[in-house]
Amino acid sequence: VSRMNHTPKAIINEEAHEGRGIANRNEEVYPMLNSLRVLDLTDEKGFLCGKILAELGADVIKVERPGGDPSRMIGPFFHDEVDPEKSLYWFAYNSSKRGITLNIEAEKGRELFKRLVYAADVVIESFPPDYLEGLGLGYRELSSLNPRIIITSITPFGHTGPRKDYKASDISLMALSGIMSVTGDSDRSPLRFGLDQSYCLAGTHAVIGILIALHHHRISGEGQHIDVSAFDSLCLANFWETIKWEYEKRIVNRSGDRMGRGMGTTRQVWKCKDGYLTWVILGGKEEMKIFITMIEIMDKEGMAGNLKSVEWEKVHISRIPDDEMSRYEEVIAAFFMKHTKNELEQLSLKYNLRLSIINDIVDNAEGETLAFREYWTDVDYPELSTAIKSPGHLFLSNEVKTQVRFRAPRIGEHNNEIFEKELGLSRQEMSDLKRIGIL
Amino acid sequence: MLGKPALQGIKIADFSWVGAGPRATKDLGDHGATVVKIESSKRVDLTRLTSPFKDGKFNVNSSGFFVHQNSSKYSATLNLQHPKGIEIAKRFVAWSDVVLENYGYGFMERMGLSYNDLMKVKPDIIMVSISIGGRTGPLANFRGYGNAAAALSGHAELTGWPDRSPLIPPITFGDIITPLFAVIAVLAAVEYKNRTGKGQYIDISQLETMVQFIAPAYLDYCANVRKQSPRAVPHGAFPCKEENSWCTIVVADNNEWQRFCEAIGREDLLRDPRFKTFADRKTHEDELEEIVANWTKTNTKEMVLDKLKKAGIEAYPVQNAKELFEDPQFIEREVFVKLHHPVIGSCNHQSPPMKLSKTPPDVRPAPCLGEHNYYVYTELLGMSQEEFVELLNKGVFE
Repeated sequence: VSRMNHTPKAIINEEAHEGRGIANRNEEVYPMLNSLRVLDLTDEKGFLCGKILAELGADVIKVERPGGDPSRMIGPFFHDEVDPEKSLYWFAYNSSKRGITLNIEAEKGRELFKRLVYAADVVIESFPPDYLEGLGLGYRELSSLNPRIIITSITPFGHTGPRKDYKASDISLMALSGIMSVTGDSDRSPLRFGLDQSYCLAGTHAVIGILIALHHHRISGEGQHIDVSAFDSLCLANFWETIKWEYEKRIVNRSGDRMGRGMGTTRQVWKCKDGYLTWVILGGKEEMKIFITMIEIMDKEGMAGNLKSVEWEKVHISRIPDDEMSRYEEVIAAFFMKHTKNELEQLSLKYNLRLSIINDIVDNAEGETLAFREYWTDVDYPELSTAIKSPGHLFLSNEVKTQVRFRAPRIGEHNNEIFEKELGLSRQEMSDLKRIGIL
Repeated sequence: MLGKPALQGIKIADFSWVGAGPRATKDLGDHGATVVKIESSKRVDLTRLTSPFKDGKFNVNSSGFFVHQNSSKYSATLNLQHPKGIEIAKRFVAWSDVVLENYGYGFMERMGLSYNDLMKVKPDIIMVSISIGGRTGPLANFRGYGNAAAALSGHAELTGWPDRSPLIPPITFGDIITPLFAVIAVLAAVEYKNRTGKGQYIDISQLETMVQFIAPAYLDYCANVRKQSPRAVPHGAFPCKEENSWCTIVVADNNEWQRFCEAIGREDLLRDPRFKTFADRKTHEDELEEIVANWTKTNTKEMVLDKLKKAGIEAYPVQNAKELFEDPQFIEREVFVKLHHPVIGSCNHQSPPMKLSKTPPDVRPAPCLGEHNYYVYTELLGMSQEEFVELLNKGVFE
């Protein structure tokens, strides 16, 4: 394992914060979850859960079927080479975990798995409901073996309800949750978001469930079962639409780059010289001040046009008809087109315009903001003769470190460490188990 | 056997408002933590001023938005601008295990409530700050709306059609993702304190937590030195016969492909070299999607879903909010729980999406402004009746 020895130079930059008092007092930084053992049997639906726990300090062991988990074939791939050891999707969500292979469908494999559970605190799995019960590895069996075990199930619909046994991929969950019905343009089909957001939400909720269960375990000594539904997670994320229906019996259609403004809409995505930004004109006293400041800035460059002819203090933004609004928007659009992302960001910071640049991947990977906070971690992949710059801390702290610790495991990479050194299997037993497809 | 919520005994002084902060303390309160929302009638939480309202009538206690972000909390009003305000705020600090805030840059410091100030009151305090770009760095004093983090992090860039502008996810996504990390930070910090006796200061950036959710796109850029064009292949839904009626269809492997072609009566496609393997179908995705759309368009949504379900193909409707409320899965999972709110009456509150078998949550109604002043100040902070009345008369609790 190539463990990273990356200690941030300064977790909190003192110079930028003179008098703000959050100096990094400790040279040493410590993990938050010490000596917590987690067995991670998930596929892509649960990856993020184990990763977050690992980066809080837990010892997370990925348990894959012999030959590796099929989710290793999800792209993109390193140098576009389709290979279970080169999936960047796998790398991104499985860093800081160790990895073993084990066929839990075979009797001997189940035996070994039970021995691992005996020494573990948490199991995370994303099999269809009842799958583990069918193998004699359900919560009842495992908790009789280890009463403090916390079993966490991450599934599309949870372990109850009429759809519990149905398959559903991210796009289907987005569709059912109501989110897709409002995502996209009104003249085209509904869209999902980029990458698998339902899985990430479910995985993160699962971490919360586990930490709550650990708190209970500390007090009572007992474990429990946690049932996490990706669908439920998405429905809660969609609360804007559900409250509009509950309180106003109102259904909103997709509106692309515009957002609701009273009875009309207002533009929220604008093009500038070298990219895009988001900014909205909203009603309300404080919001109007921001709008007027923007008009003053435009006027200095002689670009305020028809915006100068309105006494904005006396206007209700929400009552301006869409066609009139679009005449004002044209003037603003022309101003933005004259400026770069960087210029507009600086203006926003200086005058508190609440305008945000729409960054692309390169902007963030190469930009100053995340670099300043030492967000990125170069993770070594010696087998690929490279280091890959990866998203780092979950948050910053003056006391502890949450950081990518080492690269994602290769198939069966830690079989020797776990089965031989920890469970005491002999070399001969190991190779026998490998031959008959258990390891 | 069901027990009590697990977090009973954890005390949270919640100075947060609007989106990302309140959502985090709601989750902690739902699971039993004692959360005191410290707010003010002088500077009302904007969420209380945001529609929709019960019966469309504005009232600081009847916003549906507020209800969804603030269940299971006590509300105490405190005027931080009052000369006595900061002293009382510090009594909350002394009482609490965790202080959470998401004010603008420098506000807590100006008030004399910085982490250093808090430590003087309670050396092992856990303080959590949530902001858009973090409390340090070039964006430290950046202020923005709920959509700013989605724009800054790359989420907007990854959403939308390739021939059009990026799309802001319509759910203020930063206020969904970041609170989850804040809850994780609080619980992990409590665990750390139980082990070591030490508190800490935690600085959470919406931008950084949102990048975690799209990490593969960043690795693709960093490892392949390629700016992925993620919007190149948006996966949309297929149109059904009724207007603005859509469904998703997912065909995973060759077996499903065969069953799919049979189900739509297009066995001829099985012999079409463009669609032979999964990779072929991916290569010719545009042509294939057109063929599929031509079939779905001639069928009602119910017919599409029924035929594909019988063939064992993953297909689901794009539902709107009204349909979601009627969805039997949504109902049976109790994603929402109906509670009696003192002003709104019976209304839905969000229930956590993770079900703990032994320590279920206990979701209680969102509080009215200052509803628990007497209880909070006399019982939790231990003020005498005399002092409470005196401070009340002086306007400290406005």
